[in-house]
Amino acid sequence: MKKVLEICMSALSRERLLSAVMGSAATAVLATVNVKAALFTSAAVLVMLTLAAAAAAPLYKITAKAGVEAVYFTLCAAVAMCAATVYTHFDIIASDSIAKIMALTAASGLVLSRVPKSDEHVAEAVLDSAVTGALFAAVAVSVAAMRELLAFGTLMGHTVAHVSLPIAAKPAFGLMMLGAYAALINVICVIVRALRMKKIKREEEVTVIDE
Amino acid sequence: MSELFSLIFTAIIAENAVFVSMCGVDRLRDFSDSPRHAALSGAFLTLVSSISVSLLWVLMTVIKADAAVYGVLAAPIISVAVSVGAVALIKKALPALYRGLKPYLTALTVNSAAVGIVYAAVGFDIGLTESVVFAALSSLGTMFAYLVFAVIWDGIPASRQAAAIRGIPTVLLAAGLIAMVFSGFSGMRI
Repeated sequence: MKKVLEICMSALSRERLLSAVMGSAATAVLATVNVKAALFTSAAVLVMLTLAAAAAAPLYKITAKAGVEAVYFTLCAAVAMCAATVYTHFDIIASDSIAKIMALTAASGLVLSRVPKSDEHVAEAVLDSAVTGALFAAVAVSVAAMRELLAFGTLMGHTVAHVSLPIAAKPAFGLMMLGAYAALINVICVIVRALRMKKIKREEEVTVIDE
Repeated sequence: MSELFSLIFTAIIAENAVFVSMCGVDRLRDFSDSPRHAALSGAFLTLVSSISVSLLWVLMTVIKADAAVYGVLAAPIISVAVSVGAVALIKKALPALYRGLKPYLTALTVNSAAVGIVYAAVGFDIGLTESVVFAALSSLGTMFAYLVFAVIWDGIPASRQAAAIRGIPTVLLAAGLIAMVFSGFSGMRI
C-alpha cells in the first residue's frame, strides 16, 4: 500500500504532470473536441500504456533494452490499431480522424515517457502506467468538457447553454487550453511548495522555542 | 509550375504538419531550443519520413491492405525502425552530426511528427512518387515550424517569463497562438 501511494505521489510531481501534458499534446488536442471522444480515447490510452508495460517489463530478464522497447512500441501500435478499428466499426466516435489520433498516440511523448525501466518491478511499471493513463484521462476529459461547452453549448451531446464559439473546437484553442492547464499546475505546485516551506519553518521555530 | 508552388505552399503553410495537423506538436520543446537543432531535426525527419513512406506504400500495395486501418499499426513501427536505422548509419558515417543529434535521439526516433506524416501520405491513396513528395514537403513544413518556434523561443529568455507560465505553459500557449495564425483565425467572432 505504501509503495502504491509512493508511485501515485511521484506521478503527481510537477515534472511528471507537465511532461504528461506536453507529451500528450497532439492526442489531447485532436481528441478533445467533445467529451465522448475524449473518454474513449482516454480508455484506449489507458489500455495501451498498461498492457504494453505489463507485457514489456518482464522481458528485461531475457533481452536488452532495445528488445524491450521494440516490444513495447509494437504493442502500443497494435492497441492503437485495435482501438481505431473498433471505434470506427461501431461508430463509437463520430470522428474521421480517430485512426490518425491513435497512430499519433502510439508514438507520442506520453507513451515514450512510460517505457518500462530495467530496475522497475512489473507491478510498479503497470501501476505507474495506469496512473499516467488516468492523468491523461483527467486532463483530456476536462479540456474536452470546456471545449464542447464553449463551442456548441453541450455536454455529452446534451444542450446545457446557448453558447456558440466555433473557435473552441479548433486544435489551436485546445493547445491554448492545455497551456492554461500547465500554468495552473505550475501555480498549484508553487503554492504547495510555499505551504510546505512555511510548515517546515514553523516546526523549526517550535523546536527552537522548546529548546 | 504553379501546381508545384501550390503543392509546396499547401504542404508547408496551409496544411502545416505541426500547427494545422498537430503532428509532432508534443516535440516542439525538444527540437526548438536552437535554430540549428531545429534544422537538424527537420532534415532528419525529412529523410526518415521519405524512406518510411516508400516502405509503407510498397508494403500496403504488396499485401493489398487498407492503409487507413493497418497504417495505424505499420506507420509507427516502420518510422521507428527507419529512424533507428538512420541513427546507426549517421553514427557510422557522420560521427560529428551524430554527436550533435545525440541529446535528441530518443525524441527523434519515436516521433509523432514522422508517424503522422507517414500515415497521412499513405492514407491519401496516391502513387508512390506523390506520397514521397508529399511526405518530404510535409517534413519540410515541420522543419519550418520548428525553426519558427526556435527563433521565437530564442527571443523569450526564461528569466523574462512569468513564473506561472515558465517552460511548458509558454510553449503550449505560443504554439496555440501560432496555430491560430496558421488557421487564419477562422471561427473567431468579435
